[in-house]
Amino acid sequence: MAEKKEILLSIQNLSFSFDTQRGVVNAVRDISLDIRKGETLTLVGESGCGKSVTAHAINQLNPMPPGKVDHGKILFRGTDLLTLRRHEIEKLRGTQISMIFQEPMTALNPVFTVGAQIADVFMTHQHITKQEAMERTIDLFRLVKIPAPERRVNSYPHQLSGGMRQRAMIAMALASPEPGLMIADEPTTALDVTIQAQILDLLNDLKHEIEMSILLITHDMGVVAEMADRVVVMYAGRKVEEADVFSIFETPRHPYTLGLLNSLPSNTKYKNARRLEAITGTVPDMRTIGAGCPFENRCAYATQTCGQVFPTETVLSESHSVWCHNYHMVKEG
Amino acid sequence: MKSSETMDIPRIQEPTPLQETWYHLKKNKGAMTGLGIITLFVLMAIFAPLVSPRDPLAQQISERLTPMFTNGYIFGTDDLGRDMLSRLIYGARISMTIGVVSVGISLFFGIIIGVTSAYYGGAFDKIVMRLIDIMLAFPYILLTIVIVSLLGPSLTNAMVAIGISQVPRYARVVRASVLAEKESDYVLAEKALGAGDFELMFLTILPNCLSPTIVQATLGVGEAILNSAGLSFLGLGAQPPTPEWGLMIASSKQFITNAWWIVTLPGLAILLAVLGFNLFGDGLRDILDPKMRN
Repeated sequence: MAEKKEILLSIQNLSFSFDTQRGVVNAVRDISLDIRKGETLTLVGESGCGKSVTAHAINQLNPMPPGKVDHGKILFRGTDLLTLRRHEIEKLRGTQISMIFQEPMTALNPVFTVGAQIADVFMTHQHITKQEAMERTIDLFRLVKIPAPERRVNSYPHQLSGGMRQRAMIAMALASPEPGLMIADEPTTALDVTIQAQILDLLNDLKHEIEMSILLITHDMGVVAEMADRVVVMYAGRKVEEADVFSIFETPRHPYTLGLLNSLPSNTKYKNARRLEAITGTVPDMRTIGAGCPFENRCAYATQTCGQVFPTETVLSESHSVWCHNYHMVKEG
Repeated sequence: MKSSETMDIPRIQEPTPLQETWYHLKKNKGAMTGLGIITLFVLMAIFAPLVSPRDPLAQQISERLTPMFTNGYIFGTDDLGRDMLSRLIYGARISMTIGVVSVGISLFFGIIIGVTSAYYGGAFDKIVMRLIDIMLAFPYILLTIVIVSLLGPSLTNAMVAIGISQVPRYARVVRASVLAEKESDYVLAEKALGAGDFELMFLTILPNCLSPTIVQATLGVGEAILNSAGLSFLGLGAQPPTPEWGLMIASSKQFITNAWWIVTLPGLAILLAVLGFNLFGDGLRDILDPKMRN
């Protein structure tokens, strides 16, 4: 992280809303983030805070309508993805921006062998024969450490274990000719802990081997510690804190980040917490959120201003910013 | 990685989906009976010239209305002295063709309409489905009669008419299963990897919707055979002297009192063929639906 590399993806002031039958849901509000080449950025937050919507906005996988970009830019290698035509986006998907999903159980097509599916991705984007595609699929399987790849390519998804399927998914995402950005939407949530560790190691290895950037979405601070270079904490569609991974764990300054860390089991640094601490209350209804800080109703440090205006950015250091009126009061709980 | 290459992994051959289906099929008596009947009729249709003892169109007026098992005529002769057995065998050829072609027509249009309607949804889906509802509201026989009278009575036109009149059914079945599949993660995953609409519709989603479609098509073949017999009976399908089962019943119905076999045997042939396809279709439904499998 010493020298600053070129910015690969830059989301600028993105707001995304869904116009549902029961009102407009502002799923993402004014999010900005940068991902540099070869960097892993994790997007952390609880279910429904807009992590996936942000990620899906990049390659436009959100259903539109009812979804709609209210304002903002998404610059990828200098071009604004939001101005691209449909077929241009389709071309980008799977070539420069690829994606792996949360549920390896359901994210593979059940009626085709995994090898055929990956070979298909090769053939979609490059003009090569089926034979060549199959050979490169086997190479990929070797890269993602699937044992006996020559036989595994002929397996159907239901014949593979969860970890194996997630490896196959990763292989599929790597079948792009020039992998630049990999969006990993909770890639390990559905896996058990040992397999989770293996998959994360694999992602880290791959990142160094082929110099790709990873946008990792998770709600698991353990995964953050393992993987992240930088962390963006989201709450109810807002970015509330952004920092390098060390600052987040050492000196969290947003009450929500602190709450997330306190709710981690057996964290030696926060050993004062005898019982596992939960953040009280629930996420506010996204349709009725006002202008204030969305965390106000659950926050121990809330003051009157919190309910009225959303705080502006406070830059704490070159790599650490927080959006909180009372950040100075937040010392480790 | 080294270890996995040197390790001797026992080679367990996993069954392909086809093998698995066959395994369950073998245990289903009804389906196997149906498959047996279908095989018999298909073989008869293919090898009709080899297995039929006589020319189905050759008339022997002197031998007209010969009863069964007499003078070397196993199934007797009809009112023009034609060999019933040969006519029934050639009839299988016509009925199988009708079944396959008309179901093929229904499938082709039904799949295209069903898949696109479910995939695009919205106003397009609503309009298409209301049109389908209108078609379903017509009794099929009325619809086919209208189509045949527009195109003129012939076997080919009967096939087209039957095929078109059954399109709504296939469209509905396909649409329902596409609706269930299109929100799946693997569809989103394929989309994220750069698949376009066509690829998503026909190469990703459709293969997952095939089992209900196959069941419907199998049952549909039996029904198409029955429908074409009905049309021919009404004089709107095959024209004499084609040895079509329905037509055979129609043209000899006045002899039912003194030569029962010329009317009954084609009827039994229709019954048996339709029964075969229905048994097989029902069996397939049980097998392909994992919830019904135990």
